[in-house]
Amino acid sequence: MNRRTILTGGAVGALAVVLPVSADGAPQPGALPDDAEIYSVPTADPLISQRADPWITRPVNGTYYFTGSVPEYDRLVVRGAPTIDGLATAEESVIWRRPASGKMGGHIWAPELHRIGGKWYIYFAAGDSDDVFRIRTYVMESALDDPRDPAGWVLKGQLATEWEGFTLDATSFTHKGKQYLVWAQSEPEIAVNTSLYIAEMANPWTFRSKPTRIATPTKSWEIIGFKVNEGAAVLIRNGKVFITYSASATDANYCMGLLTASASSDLLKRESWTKSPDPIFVSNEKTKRYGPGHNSFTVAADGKTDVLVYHARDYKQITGDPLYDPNRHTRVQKLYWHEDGTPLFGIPVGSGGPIVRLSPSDRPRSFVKHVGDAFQVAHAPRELELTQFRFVKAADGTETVQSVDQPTKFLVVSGTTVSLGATGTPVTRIAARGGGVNIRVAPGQFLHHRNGQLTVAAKATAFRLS
Amino acid sequence: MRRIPYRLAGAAAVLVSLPLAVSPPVVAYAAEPDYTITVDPAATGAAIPKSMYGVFFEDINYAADGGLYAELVRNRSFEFNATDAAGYHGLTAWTVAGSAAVTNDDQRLNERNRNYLTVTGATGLTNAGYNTGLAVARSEHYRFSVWARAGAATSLEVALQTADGTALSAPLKVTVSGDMWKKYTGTLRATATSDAARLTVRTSGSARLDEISLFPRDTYQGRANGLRKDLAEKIEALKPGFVRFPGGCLVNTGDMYQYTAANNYPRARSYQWKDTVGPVETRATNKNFWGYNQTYGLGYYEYFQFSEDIGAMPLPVVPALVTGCGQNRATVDEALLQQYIQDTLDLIEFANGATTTTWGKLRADMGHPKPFGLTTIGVGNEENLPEEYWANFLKFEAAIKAKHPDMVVVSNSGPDDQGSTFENLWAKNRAHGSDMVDEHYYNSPAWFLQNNRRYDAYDRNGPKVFLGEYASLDNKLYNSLAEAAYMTGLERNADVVKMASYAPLLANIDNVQWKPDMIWFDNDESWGSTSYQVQKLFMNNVGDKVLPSTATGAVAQPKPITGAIGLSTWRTAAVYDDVKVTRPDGTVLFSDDFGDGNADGWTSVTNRGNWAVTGGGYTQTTTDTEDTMVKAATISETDYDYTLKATKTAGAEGFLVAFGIKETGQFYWWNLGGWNNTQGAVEKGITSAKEQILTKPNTVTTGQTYDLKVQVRGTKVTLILDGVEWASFDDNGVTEPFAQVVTEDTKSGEIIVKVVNAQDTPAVTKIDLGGRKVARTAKQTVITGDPGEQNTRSAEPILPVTSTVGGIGSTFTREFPANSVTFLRIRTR
Repeated sequence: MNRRTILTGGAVGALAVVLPVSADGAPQPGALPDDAEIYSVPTADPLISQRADPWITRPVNGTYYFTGSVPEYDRLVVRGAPTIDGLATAEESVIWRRPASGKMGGHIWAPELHRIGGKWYIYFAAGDSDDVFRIRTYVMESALDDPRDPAGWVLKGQLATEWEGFTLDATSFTHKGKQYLVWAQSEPEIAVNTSLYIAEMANPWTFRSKPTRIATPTKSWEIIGFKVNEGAAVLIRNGKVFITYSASATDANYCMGLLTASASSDLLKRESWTKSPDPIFVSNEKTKRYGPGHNSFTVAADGKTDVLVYHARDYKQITGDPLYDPNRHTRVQKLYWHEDGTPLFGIPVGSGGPIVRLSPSDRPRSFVKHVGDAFQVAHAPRELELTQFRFVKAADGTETVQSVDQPTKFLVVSGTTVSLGATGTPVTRIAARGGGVNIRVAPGQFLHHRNGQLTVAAKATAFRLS
Repeated sequence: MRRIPYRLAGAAAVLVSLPLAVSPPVVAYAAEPDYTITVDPAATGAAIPKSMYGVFFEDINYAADGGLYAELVRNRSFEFNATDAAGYHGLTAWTVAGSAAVTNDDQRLNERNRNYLTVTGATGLTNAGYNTGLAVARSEHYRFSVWARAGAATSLEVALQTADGTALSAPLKVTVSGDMWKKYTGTLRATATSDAARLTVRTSGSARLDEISLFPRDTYQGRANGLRKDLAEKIEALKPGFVRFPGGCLVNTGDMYQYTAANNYPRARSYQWKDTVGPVETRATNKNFWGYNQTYGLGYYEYFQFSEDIGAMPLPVVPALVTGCGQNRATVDEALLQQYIQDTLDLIEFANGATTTTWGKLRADMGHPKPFGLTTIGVGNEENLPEEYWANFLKFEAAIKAKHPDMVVVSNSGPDDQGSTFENLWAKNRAHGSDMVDEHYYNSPAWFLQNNRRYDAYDRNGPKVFLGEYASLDNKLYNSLAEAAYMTGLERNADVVKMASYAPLLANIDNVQWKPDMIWFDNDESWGSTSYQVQKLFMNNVGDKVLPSTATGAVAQPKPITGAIGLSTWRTAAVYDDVKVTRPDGTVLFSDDFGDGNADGWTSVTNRGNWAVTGGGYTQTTTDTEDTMVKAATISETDYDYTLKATKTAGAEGFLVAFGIKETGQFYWWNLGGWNNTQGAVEKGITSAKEQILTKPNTVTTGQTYDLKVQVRGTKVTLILDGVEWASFDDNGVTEPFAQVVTEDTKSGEIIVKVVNAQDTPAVTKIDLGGRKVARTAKQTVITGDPGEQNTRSAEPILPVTSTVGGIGSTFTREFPANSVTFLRIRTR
């Protein structure tokens, strides 16, 4: 790709990086935005290879801890690092290995690490050696400060569910002083693989209430290959309790759904929960990320940016049983929020640098969005991925603006028309007076917002990046 | 879905599909409605009998012992044995600390209560009850009783406790006095609530014990030897018009002889009503057809009493010496037949006879001097030997009618909605002029939506129909919607269909032999399925006469049979070879002769069986595995021939050749050598069950290679076996997702409009009540939700919602939600 075909003044662009100029051409002091700082979330993708069902804690005493399923399904591992990035290379501690025979000698799946009442707990699912799919949920406890230390871990036993059966993917959360467990289980009357249940806990390994089913696979996207609701993760924000979960077989059909309850409702009542009719996170052919799901949530180093942690493969075709294809890799990306307080998941963003969204200063709640190959400025759009872009730097210091959901396409300027195309127009970002950036597409020509349209004019619009 | 008008000959206009945005239910609809319902201004429809809808109680899924029968002690009389179920023995559910032996000798409590327990020395006995234990509630009272005798003074200490021995009641002290069988009673009061309690009986010394029993004092209507309150009340709330009992396959399967010494006390017997009456400690025990023990503590008296208590007509079913239910056997014994006929006459005497008669006196002795008012009796259930059954039925019917000319005697038409047995028996019943014919069928929801008009075509002057067992094959809302749609057709045909009952009624969640079921329970909770909610809505809003109505609107046309091809086996090893799918012109779409030594392209559907390519063929070698389906080659064309060679190498059955396999799990298969190599069939599989499209006798010979060909032409399929047409069918039913019936409740002066919308879009519907003057408001009850949801112990997301709605008139428009049943009760003015 030659991004320089319509470039007339590369030197100007290079200069601009060094010495920003304002819309009227006068040099301005002030720093250009740091996209990585805006995005706030590591862009290494994958973050960790061959770790599925990833769980990253919020930082505890300055350390992020990671656990997840290993392809051998034979052990529990924990990593720790001061940053999310650091988990990629952190040494992995094996805190438990399955016994050679008997109970818990089968598949070991989807551990989660929780800090409850000053102790560490791991919920994990285990089959038996003579029936690796006789999956039940077990609880481990460690009183040590460092969950990586194998010496601290003690098995508390099998979670005694209301009825015996295939049980996995327990996750714990506290809300209004009560501790809850959400997990996946098969229920005898229901001809599906697993549904999702919630119950209040008396302690991390003992139920206080009976289980309430809050979701069962009913939608077409939840029942492909296997009829599954599993891998729940809880996020409480904006007066709501959100539970993401994963559905269908663990191939490219795997995807995520969303349950929502009011934070003031009785979470043990079925009617408190609403299932979103469509999946909220699915495979993407353009970014080549397949079967995204079994997520967890953590928070970025800034302490406020929510981070979506999930696994996905980067190929669609699997030879043999997807369960034994080892390449579900741990990935992280930024979780966004709509102004109405609901989460925006977008798409698996794939490889590339930090991602930004552009809001014109005259419409701070709107975002630059592409619709097909055209551009517009839209108020609080729900299609997050259409508003996500990467500024890709060229050697000369100019940048092209790459679409996240159409990564082979870039912002192209032709006359006053702005569109998406294969060969991006080099642009230069210039710190704008009063904040944000002006985006120069040619000498004296800038991206300009007018009445929801994105065009090119001599008068620059300042765009806030978020 | 193509929109075509139907049922209104003159309605030529093709309705346009409307983009139905979410709109409030009562608005002025500018656009054309999706559907119309037009009630005839003048015509009178069928009268609907009070018995229109009822319940079918069978002791399946622990419906009686461990279910409706409130006894908390399991195996109270030490009668369990290995004939009932593998692993059962005289002390099943009991643990003994000390010395106790199940004894079968002439010191027994009663001739037909064969076993008792001999305790030697101080001994503790603990009963674990059903499910997780005995369910007890804090402060509730429990009635204990035991039959006992002891040579020396022995006392019993009786208490409730947890599994680990924590007391759940104060102990009850019983002193056994004398070495003669005597009944001792007392009451326990639970000090805490538990669903895992144990009953303990500690003896101070040696004793003989039998009939160790514990009932909640709070049984349904407080009756002794009574019923579990929550379950009985759930049944009562249905307001059933009748109770069919005691089965089902339970009635007429197993040994036909009596529980006597001469017959060596046969254990797996037919349901002989006299075994089930009189004091409970004198009643015989039996193996239940569904694989467990039945105490008969819940017997004929209790059935009659319960029917009376809930205001339902009793409808007993008696065995006729012929079995269906997989046993398919006739017992030819003229004396026994005469005895069975006499038993049936005696049953009528037990129900209706004067207290001066032998059996009427027993009824009175048991506590009910007044007659039970038996008017209708069923003879036989699902017999698969139509000739043998029919010969016996005629004798039963003649004997009953000779003594009781007004008694309605119900015949049946076998175990399915079609097929040779069905046709044969219906022909016999029609020719004979039977009162009523009992039909049974369990089918896919699609079948119910395609067969709304089944009874429109029945002879109005022929035998009446009793739809004694039916259900759509799963427990999801969608199944219940299909049943609801079908029920509108039953009601519309109330002049032919006189009674209908969903089946089965009850299921103990930990002991399920059959599902779907209407009411589910464990030891301390019960919950209604979505079908329970639908049945309850229909049964509580029947009306007494049909107001004829017609509807127009969209229907769904049949789709051609496309999808993957497959191979399977059922407890059979087989070799398949030369698999080919071709267009009618011979173009090959798929072929695999397995000559390359591998089965690339084939994937397992069920993850069962042991498939490998050996000797140039695709072999499945296990003989203990059911449905080992593998599939290949998704066929998207509508016309194709699927050919293969099949050879059985070992096992119980034959071949399963699948086609039209969808990702959703739906498929068809050609079943050869099914039912233990007695019958062939085409079955249509859905998520968790199969319905039979056609059946005919068929066997497969081991070692013989068969040429099989499935010729698919759209919806029409021809099956060719060794070059000869074996059968054909056309799965071309039109699906009607929208169904309605309008009835009138003369007494309350209400019109009841019943609308079922079994599809994912709302139905804006214009309703014309034929000029009738009505109130402007109506009482509306709606059952709606996610069609894939179901009600279970962990959540009941589908419950009826009742409200008062406006906008009603002699013509009005309403929007019926997607996937809903709506009843509108409208007062006439």
